[in-house]
Amino acid sequence: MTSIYNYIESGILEQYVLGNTNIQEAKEVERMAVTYAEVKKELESISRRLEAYASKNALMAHATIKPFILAIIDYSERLQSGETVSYPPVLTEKSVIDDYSLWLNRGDMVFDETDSIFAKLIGYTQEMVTAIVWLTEYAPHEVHHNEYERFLIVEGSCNIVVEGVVHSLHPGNYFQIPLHKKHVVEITSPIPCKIILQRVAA
Amino acid sequence: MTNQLTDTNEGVFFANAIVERDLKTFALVYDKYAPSLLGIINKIVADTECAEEILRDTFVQIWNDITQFDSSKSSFFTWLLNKARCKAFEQTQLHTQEFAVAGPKKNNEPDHKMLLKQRKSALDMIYLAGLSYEQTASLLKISIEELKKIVRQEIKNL
Repeated sequence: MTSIYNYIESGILEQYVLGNTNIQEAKEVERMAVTYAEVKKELESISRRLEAYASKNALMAHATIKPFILAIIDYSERLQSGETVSYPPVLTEKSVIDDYSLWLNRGDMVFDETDSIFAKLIGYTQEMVTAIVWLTEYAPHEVHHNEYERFLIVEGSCNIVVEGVVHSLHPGNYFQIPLHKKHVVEITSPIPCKIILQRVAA
Repeated sequence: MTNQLTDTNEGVFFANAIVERDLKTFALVYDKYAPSLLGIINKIVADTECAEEILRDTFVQIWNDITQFDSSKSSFFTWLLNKARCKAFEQTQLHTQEFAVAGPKKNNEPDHKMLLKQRKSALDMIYLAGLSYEQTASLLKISIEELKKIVRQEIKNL
């Protein structure tokens, strides 16, 4: 009984939860946890404390992070299922919607209505990320320091406000966000605003 | 007690769904855990923009490594936190490597030692700076046995 107490008080369990035990020490902790309920309970308690610490210091990520993560994973799964890598053209002020019809017309490029921002990657290289993005509400302000973000409006309409200057955009319009400037996207159409979005390393 | 069971079951449910490549449930996992992960990442790298990129990479890593999760070894949340910490340490180690190439600063004090000085506790050094118990004990000039007890107390005080 006392030795279990001493075992727990030694701090070996914390060392295990923090991932700092060697293989033998780890195996011993696991053995002790299986044999003694108090050890298992203490391990769980230590984890909970660290988890609570993380929760207490939680931060909200920008609204575009989640759709981008889901888009990357969706794209990776599509490639694994056999989709061939394709290379959407570079977006410039001369671009037209038709330049992207190959991707826009695909049956799987549909808006999944669960979130207010939804994206499907169509091109993903080290230098350039291209996606079809649907926006239903607004995209909160962002600043880009290392990459150019370019928009081509496909459906719907929006205002891109760059440091107070409002740019009103409609289907066919192109816009590049200047570096280091705060911008907000506000949807002005009743339907979701569908865009081709491209990010290029600056 | 029931809370713990529910949490364990929920974690296993989430993990199984991700193994099954259920992206909708993965989105729920993001909603539930991303803020906590981002908080820890930010404490490690002290740069919110960089932290968001690391958060993104962490979630992709979680998706890719999900079969490594073992519910008998840790809770789901703890596993996620460790994934986030790992990704964040890759970034901080990159900077340490860059420093190693560039050499020490003018006043002869290495950058990473400065960062370490900002770490207020032994737990910070281990949990947020990614040091081993050996390294931490050596820096604090105490034995590993003493360090283990200090860390235990610090976690109790969290």
